Amino acid sequence: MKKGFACILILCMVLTLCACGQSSQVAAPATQGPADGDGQAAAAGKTLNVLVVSDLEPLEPVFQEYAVASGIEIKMESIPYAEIFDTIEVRLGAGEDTVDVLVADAPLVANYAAKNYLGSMSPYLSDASLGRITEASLAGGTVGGEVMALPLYSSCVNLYYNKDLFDVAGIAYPGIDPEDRLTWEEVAEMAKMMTYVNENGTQIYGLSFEQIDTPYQLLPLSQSLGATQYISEDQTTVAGYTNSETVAEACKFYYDTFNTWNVSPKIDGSESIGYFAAGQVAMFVGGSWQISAMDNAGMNWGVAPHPYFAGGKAVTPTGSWYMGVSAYSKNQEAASKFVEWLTTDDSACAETYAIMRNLPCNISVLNGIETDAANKGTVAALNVYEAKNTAMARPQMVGYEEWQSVMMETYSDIKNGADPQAALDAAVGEIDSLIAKYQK
Amino acid sequence: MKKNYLVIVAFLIPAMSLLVVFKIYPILLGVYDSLFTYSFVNKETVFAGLSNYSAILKDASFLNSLKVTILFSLIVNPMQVVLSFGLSLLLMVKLPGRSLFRTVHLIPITVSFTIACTLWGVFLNQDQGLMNSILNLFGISNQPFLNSSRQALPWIMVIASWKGLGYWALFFITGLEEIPDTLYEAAEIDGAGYWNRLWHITLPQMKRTFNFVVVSDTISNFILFVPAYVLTGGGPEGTTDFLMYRIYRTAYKYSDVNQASAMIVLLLVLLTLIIGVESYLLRERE
Repeated sequence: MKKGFACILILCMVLTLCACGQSSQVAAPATQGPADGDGQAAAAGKTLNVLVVSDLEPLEPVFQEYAVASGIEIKMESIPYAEIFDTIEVRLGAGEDTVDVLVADAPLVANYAAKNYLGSMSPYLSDASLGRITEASLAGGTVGGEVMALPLYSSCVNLYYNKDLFDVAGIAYPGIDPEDRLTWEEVAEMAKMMTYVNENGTQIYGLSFEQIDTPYQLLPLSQSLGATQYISEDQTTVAGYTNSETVAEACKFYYDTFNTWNVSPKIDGSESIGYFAAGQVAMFVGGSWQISAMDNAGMNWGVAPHPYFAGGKAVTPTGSWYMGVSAYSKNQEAASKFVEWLTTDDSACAETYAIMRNLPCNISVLNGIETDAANKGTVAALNVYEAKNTAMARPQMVGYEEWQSVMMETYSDIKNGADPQAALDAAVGEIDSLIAKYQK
Repeated sequence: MKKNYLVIVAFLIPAMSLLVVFKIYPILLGVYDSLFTYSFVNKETVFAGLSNYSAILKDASFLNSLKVTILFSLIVNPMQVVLSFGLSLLLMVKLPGRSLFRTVHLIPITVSFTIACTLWGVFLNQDQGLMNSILNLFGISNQPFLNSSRQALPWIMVIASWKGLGYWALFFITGLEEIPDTLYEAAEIDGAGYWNRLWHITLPQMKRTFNFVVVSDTISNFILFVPAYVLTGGGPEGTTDFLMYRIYRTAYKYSDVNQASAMIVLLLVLLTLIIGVESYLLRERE
């Protein structure tokens, strides 16, 4: 009896052992090359998993339009902006094949290509479709002659303002004409006049950036002062470039808005539009993708061109999300065809523009905006002007992920009171040690 | 005898297998990975020997993380052990409302650390947080809290202690309840007061419990990650850049798994040394 019972117990334990997984979830070293394509056009029953940032959720209907037409199921996986970069690093770094298509921030395309996160789409793309987007945007997704990603749209940043708060302060609205562009010095003075505690005890701020602490938002400050290079030509060091006097001077302005003049709230970027839409901020330097949030809040808002430093040049941020195919995807061709359609097809791009209102890279849509008389004097026409005249891309570097990560911490430190030059000097040392691996 | 041996081994195999697969194997794999590096130029993984270790020991950011973690542990470990032991003594006092008192102090245990940090982040929000609203009532201006390089680490210590006190007190309560009452009765008969009984009976009887709590607390403080990830991002100015957060970023943000593995191995060695010293000092003496 005891013997039989012991045997049953042993059998149960052995079965339990077999049921346990035996492999550990260890990240594979990043040495794998692109997965083999299936060689067949998209077919019914196939599913494409598309990893996007949450800002792109409104594009679900466009994705489903392709799904219906092609018979391929498109599953959108949306990740908040604050987590998208880490998510891509973790999942693509582990060689997951659960992602077929992913977003890539414009300056990170080269970085992702170096890390083998993106597979080349060149074998699956037609010259006709590539000819439908601007050359500059195509170049931004091309690495070593291979098309690694295609632009979903570009972007532009403007100065939005709360007309009611301007009325309270008795300040005239800034004009939308680029000829009437405000200087940062003028913006600072206006911001000081519109920073106070109102009759309800609510703190009103004169100015806020949308993407607080991000290079996308803040590089134009130093670029307006003349900074053009942030890394050496051989991409081995950022010392002397990222911590140059020009960059430090621009960061000093950023520091002053939070610490000297106290005209900006010390908040995260995720909270900035909430503050502006709630009427707590008079001027908001942000993107046209936030117009819907302002309209939904019932704001009485206006728009003006992105400011510049007196004596400097007008510079606006540009570049936005690219779409690429994961090197680990088992559906290389189907995924590439979907990306090709989404980013180059005239009607798809027109729909994307209608939903997101971001500056398109599709030539026919751009021409349509420019020639439409109804757009005269609107933010759409302003953005086309800025794209052609003032847009300056973020620096292209293989180590952009590391550079961006450290710079975001540095901007945050400056926002919280660190001396700008000292913070930048500390940052370049860390960045140099992080990007050294790309030279090995 | 042989049959008994087989039964014993059979009972041990599942647990040992899990230990090997999820503990021993990853440690060995981490040591292995730490000896290699990925070449972005040649697109291959190559043997690097100890170069990962020498690189991180010269890296100012890693040394800062090590300093922050050690400083945090040096302050929080003794503070948590002493306060949680004191809390356990209080919770053992037979007074009306003891159950309610115990429940209140055990609530932090039921909240996940991530949720706790999120709530504290709202509470300590510089602009609209409740803490500043309370301070304003007393005429104190808004404090930066987690946005200040001088205040951020102390506040992380407060949050970690708030979360940990009740948890460690539970272990002390268990230890206190195991002490035979006869020892206290005999001491009382001999005229020993409260503090004498505490020093000569309670503390010696609690040595094993202290050993467990000190070692466990050391480990949990050295691998602290959530506050840096949820609240501070390692800042301001690297003042809350704990070692585990730096390891996480090195592996998953900067895609340098090999260097992160070297950091983990160094952390493991350091922890082993510290725990060895603690265990030696708190060992049972005949």
